[in-house]
Amino acid sequence: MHNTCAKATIKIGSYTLAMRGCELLKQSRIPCDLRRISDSGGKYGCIYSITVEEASLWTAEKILRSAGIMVLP
Amino acid sequence: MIYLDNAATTWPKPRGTAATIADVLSSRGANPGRGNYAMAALSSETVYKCRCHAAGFFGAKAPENVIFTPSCTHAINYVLKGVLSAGDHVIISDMEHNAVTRPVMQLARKGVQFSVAHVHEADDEATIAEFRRKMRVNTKMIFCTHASNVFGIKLPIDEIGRLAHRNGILFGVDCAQSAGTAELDLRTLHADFLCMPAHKGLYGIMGLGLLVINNDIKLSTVIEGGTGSLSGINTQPEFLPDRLESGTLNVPAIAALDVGMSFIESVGRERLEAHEMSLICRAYDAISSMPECELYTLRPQSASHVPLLSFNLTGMPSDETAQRLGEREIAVRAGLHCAGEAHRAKGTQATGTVRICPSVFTSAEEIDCLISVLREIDQ
Repeated sequence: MHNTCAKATIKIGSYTLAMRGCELLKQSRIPCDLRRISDSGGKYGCIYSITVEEASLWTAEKILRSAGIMVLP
Repeated sequence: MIYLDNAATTWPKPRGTAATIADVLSSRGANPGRGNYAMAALSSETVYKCRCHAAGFFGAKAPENVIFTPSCTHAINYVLKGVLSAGDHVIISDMEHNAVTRPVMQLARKGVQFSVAHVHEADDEATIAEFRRKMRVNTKMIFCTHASNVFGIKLPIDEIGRLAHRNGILFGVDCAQSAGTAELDLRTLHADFLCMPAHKGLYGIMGLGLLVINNDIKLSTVIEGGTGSLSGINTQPEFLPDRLESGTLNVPAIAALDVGMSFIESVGRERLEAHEMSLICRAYDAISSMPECELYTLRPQSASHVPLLSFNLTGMPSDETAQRLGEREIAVRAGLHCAGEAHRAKGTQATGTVRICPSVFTSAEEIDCLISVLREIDQ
């Protein structure tokens, strides 16, 4: 069976912050994947994306922000 | 060879260091934070793992508060030049290495004022009073060594840090000679910046330094460039560690540092320090019993010294003593040790000193051999 849950991405500027962010999310039992991407709009260039289920997006962003991890718009 | 130049760099390195470096070069050799492929991810993970390890080792708030630099000297420059500007005042001590003195002198040419506080050996209150007396309304920072690289004399950094913070002053510490043997925990230590090399007491290799930041201050950058992040923006990232880590990181040295810190944890920092201190006291007691020998400090003890020692054979230049020891396969360091101010403070600038520093791998028999050869040279 395919997982049909909708996915959402959170953009983070730094590998270190993205790695720490993923660890925090996993500690909170929020499944996530980390990838290095090129920002499609070209504004930021090389960044990192944390992919989570869309239903967890709000909580995930809140966890990251409260840990001082800057989430790119 | 009997290697007693561990204050310059520790040697040998722990078992596993060379194999780890070889593994990085052979299987994790990609540029960290610069690629999407598996080996680049492995390289990035190597850096992140060590960063987390170092954060835990020094009680940093988060891994991004650990900045990898090319050396301790770079880390010190990042702090001093990232904080101070014309009109600011900084206090340093008279035990500083040129890694502190020279950047401060350079800043002085650009309008930064500075004062030098005298360090009273084993008299913390007197030393703190010296720092207090040097404070001015425009004092922005106190930056001092944790321990003299020439005389091993420790400064009471916790109390100096408290003094600084009570007065709204930033506090930075050069931990080049203390990291690895002395307790450095930012959860309790009143310090904003710790600077250290990887290749001394942390048992890593050359080409890597650490800057551990313990506040939210945004340092002005000394070096700007590629960070592998936000490449579409022409200005330096605002966030740590990227803001202060332009250019490719030294991944083999970072992996070696990880091994070094694990080694210290496996031995136990306190045990390691006790071993080295017992050796330096053994050397001190023997040298102090030699009539033609000069020592410049009190008998070392953990509260007031790190385990290293300076001495001279009376009437013999320090470099000649070192040369003769070298001919007998005993490695020591002579001269001014890149710390002219410290020598001036002790009156040894004309002759320099012979410096010995053991490591965890040094034995009592090796210290006894040093003493035996010194007695021969002295006759």
